[in-house]
Amino acid sequence: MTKEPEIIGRPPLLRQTNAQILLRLLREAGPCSKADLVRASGLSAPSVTNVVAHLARAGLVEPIGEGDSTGGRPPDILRFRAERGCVAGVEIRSDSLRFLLADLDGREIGKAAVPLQRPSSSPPLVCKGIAEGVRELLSKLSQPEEQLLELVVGVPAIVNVQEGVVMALSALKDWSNVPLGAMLAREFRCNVTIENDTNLAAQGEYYRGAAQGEKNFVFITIGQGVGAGIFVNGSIYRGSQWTAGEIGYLRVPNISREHPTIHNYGKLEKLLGAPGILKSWQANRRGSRKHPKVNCAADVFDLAAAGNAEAKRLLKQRATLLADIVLDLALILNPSVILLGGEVGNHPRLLQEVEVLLQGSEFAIVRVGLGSLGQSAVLSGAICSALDPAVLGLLQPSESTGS
Amino acid sequence: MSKTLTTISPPRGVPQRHLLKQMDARGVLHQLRERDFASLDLLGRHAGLSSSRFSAAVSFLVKTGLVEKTSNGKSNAGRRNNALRINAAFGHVLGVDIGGSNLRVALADMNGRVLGKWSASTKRTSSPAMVIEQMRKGVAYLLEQASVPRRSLLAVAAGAPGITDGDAGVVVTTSYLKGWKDVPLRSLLESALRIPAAVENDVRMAAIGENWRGAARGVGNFVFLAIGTGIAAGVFANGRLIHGTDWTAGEVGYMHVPGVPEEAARHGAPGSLESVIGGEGIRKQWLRSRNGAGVGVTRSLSATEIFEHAQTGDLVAKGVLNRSAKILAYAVYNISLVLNCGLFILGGGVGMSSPLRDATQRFLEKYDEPAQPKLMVSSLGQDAQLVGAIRLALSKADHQSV
Repeated sequence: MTKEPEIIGRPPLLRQTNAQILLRLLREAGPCSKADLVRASGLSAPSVTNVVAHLARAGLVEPIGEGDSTGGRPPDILRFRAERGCVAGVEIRSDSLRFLLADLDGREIGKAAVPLQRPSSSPPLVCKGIAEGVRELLSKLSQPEEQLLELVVGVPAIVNVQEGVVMALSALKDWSNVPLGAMLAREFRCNVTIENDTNLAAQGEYYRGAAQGEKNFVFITIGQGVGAGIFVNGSIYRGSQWTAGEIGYLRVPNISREHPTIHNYGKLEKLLGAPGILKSWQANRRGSRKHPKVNCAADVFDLAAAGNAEAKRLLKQRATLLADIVLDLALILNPSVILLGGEVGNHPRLLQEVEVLLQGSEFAIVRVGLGSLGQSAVLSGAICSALDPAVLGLLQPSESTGS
Repeated sequence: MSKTLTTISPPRGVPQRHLLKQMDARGVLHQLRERDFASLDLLGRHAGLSSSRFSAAVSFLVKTGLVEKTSNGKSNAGRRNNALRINAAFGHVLGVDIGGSNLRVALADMNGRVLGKWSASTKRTSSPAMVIEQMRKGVAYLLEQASVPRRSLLAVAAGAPGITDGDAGVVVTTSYLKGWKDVPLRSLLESALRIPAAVENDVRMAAIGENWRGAARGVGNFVFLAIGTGIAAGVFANGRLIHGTDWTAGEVGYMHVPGVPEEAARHGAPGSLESVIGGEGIRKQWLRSRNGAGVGVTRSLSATEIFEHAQTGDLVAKGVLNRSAKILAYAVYNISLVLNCGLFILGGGVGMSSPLRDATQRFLEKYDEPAQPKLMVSSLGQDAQLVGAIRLALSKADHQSV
């Protein structure tokens, strides 16, 4: 890959940078006057006038009447038109597709979910399912399709984000090197972005959740699989071949000690993930009749909290593995916080055990916490990451005159 | 309404015209440094500026004197290409490497060509004041040897063997030098030499060196892994060093991988990983195995010597090499999984050993998925830190001059 030369400060881009500055002010602070924008942005009054006109032409800003006079002519008050367009987030899970539609402020307009059965999980069918789901949601909310400016899809897989290619997905059949971005681009006229689901969840936590203001943090998700989204200097770090954060393969000490039969290290994921926890539980269950029945991995941890000795042992074992992962991540990256999420990861008892184990660690002292968005982290991240590109797309002269 | 606005910190506005030209000029200079020598056409393309902005930036640079136009570029269909080059004699910079046992200083011109090196032992004189005093002597010696006037010095950069806060210019802590705790190294250097200074952790400094003129030249994602007495990593991600929240990113000597002791070590004691494959750890492995094998009197060997022994067929040494390589492979593999970076440069007294590199690479090749990192021995060797320091000093000097 050749690195694109960084183009700084060309006049159209300058105006766009200024436009973004003013938009951010309008979005964060609500309606205000041009004079307010001049004061808060540090731009000159003519620049602000110029840029506001540009924003108004793109339909992103409108006057909403006069404000209070401070002596002279009452100022025009401007507001950001979040309804100028909408963005859609889609989450592909092993058993369902989930949709979220939001305005340009990122406020939810509507959501939907459809189950995904094994036979219908081939790439063309999933693509069709996404297209239908998004269209249905748009029409249900009476949004014409032109309103849709960005579509961001989260996939539980390694994704080449630049080319929109799903490289390998183990949870669904027949998913290997699938150009999902190009497939969806044939369905929609808007921009389509494909991203790893954990990376989106990390972005969700960064913009809306427990990682706000943290420039260097790691979001670990433990559910069906195990993965990490890594933020370095305020943006997601994907690595040189898009696989940064594939911690499900880490070689940590306790796998082999606790499970001498397991030598294949990809099994860290299989041990720590929800299926592995259930499997261990069921394996032990055969021996004893008093073993309570559980439906999901979190139930096992609930039993541990209630004092079940076998569940406690299992929890301790998993916490030990997780503590080593946390330690390695902390040493390599020195993040300010490591957040846990996913159906297994966000169990408070697991966090508690990990914290106890880390207190014994000699060097890496890292704050560990739970993500705050839970199940909605991926879709939140999808929406948040779509907002800036959506607005930028409206400001590009070629696109606004094109249609 | 305006009240809410004032509560937001104002974003950085767009620079004024002259600031813009300065930004452009710095951008062009940065490109020029990456390539040492470049035709104007090529530079223009890489700088991504319009032709008028590009030529304004170039004349701005030429006016400073730091950059000059030449016509030595390759001829292109009969027409001679104009080229730019850095005026090597514009000034000089100093690179400093503060180590646990040695203090080294290098003097370089503006192209980074080394004009002289000087070194002294820090074994007895390790307090910050003493090290600075020693360094001043070294600088005076180098200037005299190279007949460079003191006023020609533009900047200095120093690498320190410990946690170093680059923003504050402070060496927070180090276990290699006595009495170094919260040492304001940058201001000490600035007041001793009266030129702008920059400081950085020594391993990251070596990574800068390898990225500039060594085995990772121009590679945006790589890890420099220093294995000596201790183990630490300097990580480049997307072309930039990772520092972390508390400047401790890359302190991988404490990592937990299969085969290392997990008992919480005392603070200040070597970490799990380095207690096994740091220089001391390897010697201990060797002595233990030799004594276990009952092979009579055991000579004390360095880690590198032990690994060379393994090459000659010594079974005990082979065992030590294998065990060390296996554990190093785990560590490299784990780091590469987290960062997804394909290149590891091994440096430091132990890391430079090719038998260790080869054996570790063989272990890594057995892991089929998903990471397959490549190991290389540092091409700058002991000089990596100094070269990195010179590069950082050049950045500082460039920034001051443009």
